Amino acid sequence: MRFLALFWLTMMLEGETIDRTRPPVTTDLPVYKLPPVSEHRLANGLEILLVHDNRLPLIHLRLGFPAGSKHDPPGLWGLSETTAALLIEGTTKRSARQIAELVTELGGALRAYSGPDVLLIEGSVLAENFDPFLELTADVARNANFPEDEVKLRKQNRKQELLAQRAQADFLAQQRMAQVLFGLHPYAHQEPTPETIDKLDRAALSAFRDRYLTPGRAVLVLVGDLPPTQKTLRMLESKLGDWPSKPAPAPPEARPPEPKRSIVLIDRPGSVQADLRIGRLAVTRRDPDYFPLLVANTILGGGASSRLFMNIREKQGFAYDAHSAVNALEEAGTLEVVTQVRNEVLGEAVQAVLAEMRRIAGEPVSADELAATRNYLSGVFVIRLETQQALAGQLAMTRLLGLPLDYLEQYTLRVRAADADQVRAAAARYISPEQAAIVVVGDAAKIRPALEKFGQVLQEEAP
Amino acid sequence: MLLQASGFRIPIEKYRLANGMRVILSPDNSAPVVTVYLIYGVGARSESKGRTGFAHLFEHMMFQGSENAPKGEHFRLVESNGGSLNGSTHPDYTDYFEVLPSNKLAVALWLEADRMRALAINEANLQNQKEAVKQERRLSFDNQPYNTALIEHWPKLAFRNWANSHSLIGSFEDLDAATVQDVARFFKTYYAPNNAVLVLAGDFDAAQAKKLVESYFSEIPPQPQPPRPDLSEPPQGEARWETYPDRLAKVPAVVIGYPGPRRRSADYYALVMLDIVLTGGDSSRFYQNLVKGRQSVIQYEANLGWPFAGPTDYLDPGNYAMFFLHHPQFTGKQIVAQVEEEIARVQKEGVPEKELARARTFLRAGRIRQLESTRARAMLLGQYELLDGDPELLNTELPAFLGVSGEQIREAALRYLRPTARCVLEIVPAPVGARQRKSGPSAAPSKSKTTKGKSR
Repeated sequence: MRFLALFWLTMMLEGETIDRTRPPVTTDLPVYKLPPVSEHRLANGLEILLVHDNRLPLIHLRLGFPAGSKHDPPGLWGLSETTAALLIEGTTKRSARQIAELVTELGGALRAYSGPDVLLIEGSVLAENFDPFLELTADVARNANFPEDEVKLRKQNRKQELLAQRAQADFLAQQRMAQVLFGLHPYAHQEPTPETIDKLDRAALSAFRDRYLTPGRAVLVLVGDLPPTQKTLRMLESKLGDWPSKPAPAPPEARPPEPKRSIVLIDRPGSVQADLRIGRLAVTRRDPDYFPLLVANTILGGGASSRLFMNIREKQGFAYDAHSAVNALEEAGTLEVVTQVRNEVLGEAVQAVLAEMRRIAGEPVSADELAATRNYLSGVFVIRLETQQALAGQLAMTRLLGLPLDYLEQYTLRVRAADADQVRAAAARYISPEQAAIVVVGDAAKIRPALEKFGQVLQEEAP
Repeated sequence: MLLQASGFRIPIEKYRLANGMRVILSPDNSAPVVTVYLIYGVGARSESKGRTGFAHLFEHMMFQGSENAPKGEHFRLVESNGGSLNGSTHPDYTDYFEVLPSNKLAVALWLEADRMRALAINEANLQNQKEAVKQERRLSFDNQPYNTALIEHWPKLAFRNWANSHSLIGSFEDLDAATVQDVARFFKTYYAPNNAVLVLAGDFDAAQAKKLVESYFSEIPPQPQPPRPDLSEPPQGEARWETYPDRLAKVPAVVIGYPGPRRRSADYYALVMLDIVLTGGDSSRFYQNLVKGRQSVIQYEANLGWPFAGPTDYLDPGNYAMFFLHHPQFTGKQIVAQVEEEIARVQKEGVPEKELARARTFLRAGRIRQLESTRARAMLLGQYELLDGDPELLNTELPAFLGVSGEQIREAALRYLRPTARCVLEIVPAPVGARQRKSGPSAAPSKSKTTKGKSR
């Protein structure tokens, strides 16, 4: 492969045969090779993945737990994310200030946060300071003690942050769509409310930590200037080996509702454009339809050469952005089209989006589109794994979602294996718009009539 | 210093084509990825009256096709070869990048050369992109809390020279007034090879890359070097304060800024270090004393060049500016007083050695993190070449930061963060239906910004 590339370049440079009127011919994309991952497991079950990468004198760390917001008890939304945020705000050994100062002294960065499925402690540090940084990470994971004043301040600030988030139309649309698509499933509530924040206290946070932050189902990923030697392993064992494991509880059993058409309009008076989302329940990464759907979605709205972008923005000038995205969580996934259009053209824009969804669900994609999209997905996947930081994140998420490590190497192959029939079948199942939900955030007085042409509109006040 | 001590250095080779285009190569074949970055020496501060937002509108036109790559082809070719791309408009430059799997390098060079040589400029594309830009303005500013205040009002408050103070996203009126002749003239004047820097970073062979660059770019003719706009600002004699009622905001905010130093002057390095002491990480003074101690501030941002630039692409005249989202039980005045109290403490006592040592480590580690991706490297190299004429600074500048003393920080704080040089923009949530104040007719000037161009 390499040899061919060199040969071609030389040819091209020597000749007066350079044809500037045509794009250069290049070799096919190479297959992605995962760097060597050294895998270990401590006696308490903690899985450890090491990648020795000495490009930079830096080490990236991820310590992840299957403890995302889906484990928040009903009415205590925000419990997982608040537990995460408070991990670095005090332990039985250190005050919040001591943690903050130590992190900076080590040339580190350390934070913890949670998503729908997982809670992650994420950090990086100058390689020379790895030992004390690992000790600190183990301390926050194991010994956080949720000081009353820190809990109070976090709650106070989170309520204001939530207010600020709710001032953004996109946030409102995203939250409401999750509720419509997931119904009684806990994925419906990925953000807290002011009322649920009020109910959080030290006892609830400690209990959540004790229950879910256990090494048995956790994964520790280290990528950077750290050789996977016995010395390294002994150090990991010494900081984490005596961390007792407990059985981790299973996620609550719940099924999202069957998809059906519904139209929700959140009134945001004064909006100068309408934030539009059209979405459906889709699949998880384990589903055989996942890769064909990924390809279908990319053709529909995955990039700047996608159908939605070319139509809604470049042809019609309705919007600055128009895209679609597959969001595959551990237990369910969604496919959503997202765009923000000027008020006067909302009706036409909805019509155009539905038409594009119908087209990809009903008609085969062209051979050119299929080839271009396989390349796009394969190429940007490789680019996404360029840095130590990105690789650490991908390794952690892969394992936390219960996927095998070779999922990362298989990715480009599976994208390329998706054929036109599979793509059409997946699109027919998961993109066809008849059961899609529509959520719009905007100035109801200006846009409601346009929406009513598509069915009964449920209008709400913004929270 | 320590960066070198750790054996880490970015390879840099710089040369010039006969037509004046500067080329910087930074090979690193540890990942099969290459970034092509083109930075042009023109930004929003080069706009003329009646054409606010034009540099950004023009940036959009760069994606509308060129002689051999028809409309849509730029996106299609990059993406179908597995790459991603974008462009953005800044106060002092406009830049474009493609990140590709490394065997696709030639595709990006071909596309960039084709549009530099022969951009397709026509009425239909211009009309379409005016709409896209208006939608971008609605999306990123008119429909967002805080952002209209930052892009329209903050520059007017902070600057007196129109080149610096006007809106960088532009008014709908000015966007509508733009003609294809304007586009053609702008293209010829500013998008010439001698006004551009091309950077390649990542997995390529330098000798082959040079040949490719030569064959694609060398025949593009140079143009007379465009004039630099006059950006000079009169000295600020007194404090300025403005209150902006924001119908979309629900939480109050305050912007505080002070005219900053010349880029690469001793005070530039001192203010970057001061910024770390005040705002860098959770151990910083603002975090520990305002977010934690007084519990008045919820979140903040600050930078030399904020909100449209950072230290690496700061170009004077610019501000050292800060943004505070704060609890509603505190007034904007109280927040300003608390911030000034922190500044006064530095002006009186300097910075203790232990704290300064932490700030140095923070800076050093931050720099290493900043260099992880080929795209970030390419951008810094291009910016340093364009703004400093010296990309090698990326390898050599650290000692200038690390050598700053506590006393130098104290003196710089005294020189720059003076109450009489201060501008404050208070952003206050206003009830829906409240009259949105018009940006007054003013002899006021403004400043910079970053507008995302393309896709995502």
